[in-house]
Amino acid sequence: MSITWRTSVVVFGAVLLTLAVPRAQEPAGRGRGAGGRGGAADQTPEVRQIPRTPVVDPAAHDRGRSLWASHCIDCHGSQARGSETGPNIIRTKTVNFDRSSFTPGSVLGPFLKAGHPTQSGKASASFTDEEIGGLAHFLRQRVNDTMRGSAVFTAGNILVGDAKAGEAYFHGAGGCATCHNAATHSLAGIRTRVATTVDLQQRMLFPGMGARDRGRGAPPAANPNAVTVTVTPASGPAMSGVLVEQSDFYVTFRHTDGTIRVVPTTGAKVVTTDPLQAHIDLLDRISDTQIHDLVAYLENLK
Amino acid sequence: MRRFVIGSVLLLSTVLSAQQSGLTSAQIEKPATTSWPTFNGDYSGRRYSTLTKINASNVKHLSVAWIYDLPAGGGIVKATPLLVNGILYFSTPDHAYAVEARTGRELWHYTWTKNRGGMHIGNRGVAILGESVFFVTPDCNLVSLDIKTGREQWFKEVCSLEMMYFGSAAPVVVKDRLIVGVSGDDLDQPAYLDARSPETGDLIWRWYVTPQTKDDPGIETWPNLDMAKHGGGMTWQPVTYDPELNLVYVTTGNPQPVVAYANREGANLFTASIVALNADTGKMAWYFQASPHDTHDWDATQTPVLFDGVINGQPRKLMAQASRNGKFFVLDRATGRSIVSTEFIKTNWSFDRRDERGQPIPNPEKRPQIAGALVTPNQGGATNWFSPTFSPQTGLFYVNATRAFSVWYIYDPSDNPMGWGGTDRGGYAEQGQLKAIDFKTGEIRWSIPRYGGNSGLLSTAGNVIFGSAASGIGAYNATTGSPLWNSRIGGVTNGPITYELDGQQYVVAAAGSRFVAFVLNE
Repeated sequence: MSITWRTSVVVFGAVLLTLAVPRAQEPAGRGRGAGGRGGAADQTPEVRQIPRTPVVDPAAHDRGRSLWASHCIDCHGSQARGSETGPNIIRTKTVNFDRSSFTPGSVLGPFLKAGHPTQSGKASASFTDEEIGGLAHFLRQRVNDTMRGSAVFTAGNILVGDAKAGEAYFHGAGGCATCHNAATHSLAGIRTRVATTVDLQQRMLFPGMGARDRGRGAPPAANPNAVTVTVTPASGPAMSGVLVEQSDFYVTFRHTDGTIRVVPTTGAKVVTTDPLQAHIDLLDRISDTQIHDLVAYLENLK
Repeated sequence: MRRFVIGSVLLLSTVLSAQQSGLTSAQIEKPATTSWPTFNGDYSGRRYSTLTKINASNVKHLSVAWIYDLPAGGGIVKATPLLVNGILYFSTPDHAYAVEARTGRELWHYTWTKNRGGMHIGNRGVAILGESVFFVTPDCNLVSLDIKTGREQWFKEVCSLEMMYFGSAAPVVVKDRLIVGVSGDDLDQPAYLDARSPETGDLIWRWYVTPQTKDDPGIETWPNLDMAKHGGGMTWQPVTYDPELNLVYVTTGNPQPVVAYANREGANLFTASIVALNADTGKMAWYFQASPHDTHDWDATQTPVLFDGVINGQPRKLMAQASRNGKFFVLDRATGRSIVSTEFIKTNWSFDRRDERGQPIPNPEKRPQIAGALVTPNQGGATNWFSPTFSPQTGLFYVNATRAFSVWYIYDPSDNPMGWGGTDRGGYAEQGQLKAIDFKTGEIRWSIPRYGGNSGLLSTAGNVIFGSAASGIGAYNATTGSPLWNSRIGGVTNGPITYELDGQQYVVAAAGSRFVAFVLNE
């Protein structure tokens, strides 16, 4: 899936929430004839929307989990992904059509009423509507858990490296100590300044992520990591500042006094300087083992 | 008298032609420069126009001819518009539009008000045959509209919203049928490509991307039938087609589960592949897998571009793809045999050698790991949905490329992950590039900074490449890559097209919810 589309999912989720609220508005006619604009596009949908991630009622889910443990888990497993004695049901029509229904259990219920073996021997047709609803919520959550962006998807153990090897790399081949030492850019206690070890790993590899002001609007506080540019026209003195934008024909930058300059690049020499270039260069050199070793070293750096 | 009869027939023919708003298969197969009758302009996927009125010498004089803004809430245009008889037709999720190509005046706007949900993240466009316009909706319906009025004629469900498919791909007319792909990669489901009737939407044939029975080809590349039957490989992008070979070229998406792979060892055919299908039967003729056993969400759904060229002194029927995984392939499109297999950005996920089919060999160490693996390209890929272009005039293949790094994590370390089970995080992207590739060798002839976003590309016989520029559209010398012209219309969100009407050459691109047409300021 494209990254553009991936980021759109969040936006679409917000749109869905909006769409889910009925509004008293006459739906626009469709297919209006030639000559007129065919109706506003922000009309209310006629049909209730099936959400990508249906809401799961926690209490119902927990009831369902208890029932699952008593009657279903031996065959279908703790996550409904099957076992040696029963099939994976995460991807079945029964589970997913129920998941898409607006009444949890509306598909699962008839399925169970028709008769299905249980580990307890309880007749599946005897489940009450409340019990079926609980199982339906439990299964909804099991599917939700597998989806991109699921709340259960969190980083595992990042600390798999050798701290001593990391220390050697830091002071040796990695070249880290050139910039990060007691005098400049000290990393002492760095782990206390980030939330998790995986954040430490990310910040080490990609320190430029996040606030890297490119100069729009009012001048922000000085950013030591901002990319700067020096433009040397065919004639006249060189100019430099914080890079705002480059295009095919112009470079835009901000002087230290906050003024914005737009300079044609035709015939000019344009040189950008990224203070984080050493980190960027590392990306093509560093191995995954060295990454893990460095993280192990930095994790406890006092 | 005889002259009068002939003249009358010609006149009648002209009148009928002028009144007729529709399109025939023959017109799609050999499109006029006054049309853009299918997603890529023609079946080849080259997005190359023979028009020369706008050329490298005068493109700097382009001016805005008209602007069309979609109504509020009408969506972001990711569709390539079709041009038929002076009218542009395009779609956004749940919407289809007809707009005059000379003036930008809206003729009709259709809204799919039956929408039940589905991913509204984009729609690649419409197909046209006869007097009907076809598009797919996010909730899995193929809709037929009257080309004159935009009135709904029929609709048919082509995938299951409940099973988390959705519709986004532009249908393509091949002969007397519609070729329709499916989208979605949340739930582990099998992808397919359909041929459907343009009269009713009924299914003519269906080709499943992954094996659905124990006897299907490719089953040996899955650990078991159950995983193969849910193996994904979505058919996100419109097909290309060779009428002489009668082969449809479909490209397929990533396998499922997407990132966590413990339960799908093997190449996972025919995901992340280019596949040739018989247009009449849907039977597979050959395949080439761009990413064997993909674990990075690298759909191989980039356009398989068809062209003829001379290789080692021999004329060949070729195909080229710049793939999301950073690799560049040139194949014999009759046989699928590899001719060039290289890369257009520097990657770090595969070994230098290729397998016996010319396919990349992934380095297992660069699969997602619990503690993370640093990989380039990132999930967005070295390129993505945005169409490349090929100019037979220069012999160069052009692609908007990105080299980015990210760290890939396994979040579900179980032996039976479902869905995603991991992802990439963070990253650094080098300056995007517009690259020109020599198809004979895969060498990068030139590479220039791409200051704009990810748009499709267009090449013309005027020696011009059109594509994204900083917050807008730009024109570049096709031979050298020199920038020639920019217009700040907003980031281009589709693939630009060009056409000629009344002796005037137009270039049209979409930027968000706006279409802008350019002509020479003469």
